[in-house]
Amino acid sequence: MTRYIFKRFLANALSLWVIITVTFFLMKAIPGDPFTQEKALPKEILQSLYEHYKLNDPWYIQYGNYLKSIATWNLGPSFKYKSRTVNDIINSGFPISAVLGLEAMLIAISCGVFLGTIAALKQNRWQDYTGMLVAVLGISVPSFILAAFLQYIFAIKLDLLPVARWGTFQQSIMPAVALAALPTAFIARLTRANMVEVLSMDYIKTARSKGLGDTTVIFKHGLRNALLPVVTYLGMLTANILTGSFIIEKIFGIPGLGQWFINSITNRDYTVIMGLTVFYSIILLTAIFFVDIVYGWVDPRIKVGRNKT
Amino acid sequence: MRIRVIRIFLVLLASLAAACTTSSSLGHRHLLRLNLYTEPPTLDSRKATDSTSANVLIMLFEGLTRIGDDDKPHPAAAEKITVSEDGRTYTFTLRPAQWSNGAPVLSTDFLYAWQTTLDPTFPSLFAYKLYEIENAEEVKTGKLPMSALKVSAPDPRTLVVTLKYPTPYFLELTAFPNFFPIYPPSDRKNPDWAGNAGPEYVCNGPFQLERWEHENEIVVKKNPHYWDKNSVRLDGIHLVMIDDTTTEFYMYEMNELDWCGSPLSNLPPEFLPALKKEGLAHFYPANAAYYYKLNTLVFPLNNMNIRKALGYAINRHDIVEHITQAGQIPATALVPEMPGWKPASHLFPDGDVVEAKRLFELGLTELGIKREAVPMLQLSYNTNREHQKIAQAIQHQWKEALGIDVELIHYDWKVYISRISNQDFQIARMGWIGEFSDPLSFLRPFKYKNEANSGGDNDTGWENPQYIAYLNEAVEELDLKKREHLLREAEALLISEMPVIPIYFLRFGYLKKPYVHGVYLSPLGFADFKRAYLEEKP
Repeated sequence: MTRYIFKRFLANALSLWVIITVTFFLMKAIPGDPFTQEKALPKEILQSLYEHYKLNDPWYIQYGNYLKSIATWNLGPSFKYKSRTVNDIINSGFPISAVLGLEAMLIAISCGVFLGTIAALKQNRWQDYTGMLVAVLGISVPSFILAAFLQYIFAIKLDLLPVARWGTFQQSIMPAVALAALPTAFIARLTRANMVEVLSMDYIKTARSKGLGDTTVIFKHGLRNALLPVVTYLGMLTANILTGSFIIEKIFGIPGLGQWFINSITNRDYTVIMGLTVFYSIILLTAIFFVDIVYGWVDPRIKVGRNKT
Repeated sequence: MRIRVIRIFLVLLASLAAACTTSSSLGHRHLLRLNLYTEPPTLDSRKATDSTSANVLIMLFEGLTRIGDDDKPHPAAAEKITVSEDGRTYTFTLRPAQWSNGAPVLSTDFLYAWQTTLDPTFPSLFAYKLYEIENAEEVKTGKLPMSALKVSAPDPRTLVVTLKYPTPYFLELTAFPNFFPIYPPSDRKNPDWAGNAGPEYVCNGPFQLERWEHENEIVVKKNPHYWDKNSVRLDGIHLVMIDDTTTEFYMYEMNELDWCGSPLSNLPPEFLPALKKEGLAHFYPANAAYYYKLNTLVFPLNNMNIRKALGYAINRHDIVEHITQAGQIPATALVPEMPGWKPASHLFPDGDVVEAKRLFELGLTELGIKREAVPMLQLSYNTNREHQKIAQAIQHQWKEALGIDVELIHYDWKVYISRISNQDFQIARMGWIGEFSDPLSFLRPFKYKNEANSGGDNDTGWENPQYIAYLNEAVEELDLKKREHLLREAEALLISEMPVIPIYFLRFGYLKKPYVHGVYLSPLGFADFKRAYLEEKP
């Protein structure tokens, strides 16, 4: 197991390095820089800014500096927001996005698995059709439409919830629901498809013929196996949802991390682009790593770290 | 046991709720609630380049002058201003005033701010705004030492400034953030003093910085040390940061905001027609123009008559009525309305298809080509729905009037700007907002085609010695009537050769609650909330 973790750690570090390098060169390749604006600046002023932000150095020095800043987790100041460092931005934005994301994941997993299981058990009956209709809606309606719709109904028409902003539980309800819709639908469909397949397997029939109760059969033998693909999906979902959503944070005025992923690129805010890419990658790689570990626990056939003989 | 756990949980929940409510409502009675739209990139006046930062800085600071309701500068931190006969030397006598920590405001505080801005190593994008001061440019570029800068503080209440030219709009410039003073002890102690609210953030304006929760909200409260505190009737201003115009509008509708739209944000385009119809939206003229730049170096735009044909063929009235719908004014001149200047109306006709056709034929003959030989033109804009709709309408109008094909291309903002400044375009849209209330702000960019001289805002490749002569004469001219005449001549010349096609002049639109009064709205896109007040509810 230790050996396996060590190997995975090395592989992840390598992936991270590739991501950093590719991002660095892509970022430098797009036209424009942090100081490009419609009113052109005198050359000397631009030069003094390049000098101040060390953009005049040859690329390998700049690249080396980025690697060093990432290694020491001192990600540097934002070019655009002069009083903010990338560390500040992550430290203040991530907890907010993460809380919102966790809330959304809680909704997505519980509702998704519930809907999917019900649909599979009541296959081709009204429960199934209703559940799957909800799932199709969840997949096909974009989150910003749903967000605008929720905002209009619950904040404007019914005046039940605050329109936007962050700080209270009430303020988090609409963004969490809007954010959870797509993963809920996806999980529901995955669960249903796998549950239907698993329930028709021989070992389930065996279990039933042994006289085991419905609950044991469904939860212990059925659902546990049906959830494997859901766990795979959860790895990616966690990274995505915890780092925030641009559109949901924009609509609800939430000071999370999501907006920075888009705005930093629009602003050519080099340090923020690099810092966020690395941060996101670390979260994603960690999530995938945990998923691999969880596999072993859910499915005893997969033995993490033990070579097949 | 279980009851106890529940009870502890409830107490925790209640305290959490209490914490949340105290942070969102301050309990001030006269608290104006606005949407700032985004996080201000900086609250250090020397580094500010954008209107978001400027709008907050105007609440917090006071320059030598302050713009009044008549759009003209009035003495503010200075109580007396004398100008030398040649219009180049200004002597400011400061009024006895205090910083928000009680320290006196000194003339050296202004000197310190300007000197640090012009220090060659100080990262200030807008340092060039101070270039009206004699030797400022030479100091910033390192050609002369700081001691050569023609600003002096002979005593703590006197500031003497010598300018390069008699600059009639200089007293307006001193009302803007780049000319604000800063409190030197804070800056010397911590160069990042402007990054957060706290004892180091010392200001001299009507309000002081109470709280700055980055990317979320800013709260300013009345500054008890402000010299004119009796004119300040608000207890404070609560600024949230919601960068979505629809959400802002909803919050306004639900009485969570007292103001919606310009100058801090924009009205939501999808609600504009309805708001206009119901007469709820207010509009005021902006010192801003929307135009198409033409690259006069590429075939066939190198021909003046072809350029004019394109300009004459556009029906601006239709565009403003049916597409933009936000009260814009069709523009047949480059310089919009501003104090002491009415836009020229006779320079060329709007949507004159007959004349456009004649000019087009004339241009083709001059170029010695047939209509079929006209290549497909490229019209570019930065990715945005509004620009796209306008471009589509003009594409259609040109096809109808002149029978030419135009291809629409759009780019991400920074890519777009880079392409234009590299002259890698044929026709490109641009919006221009005045930096100060003077026609020069619009005319000067087209003075030289050479980037090094023009400041790089021409991009059209157009240059005319007569135009340069007019502008040179104008900046030296002391007689304001003669000066205006020269500027009008210059504008007429520019338009007659048409390296730019004006489309419309902008207007700012906003909604405000009926109980909000006393806000000064500048055509330059900022607001002054110093005298704002909320009417007592009956």
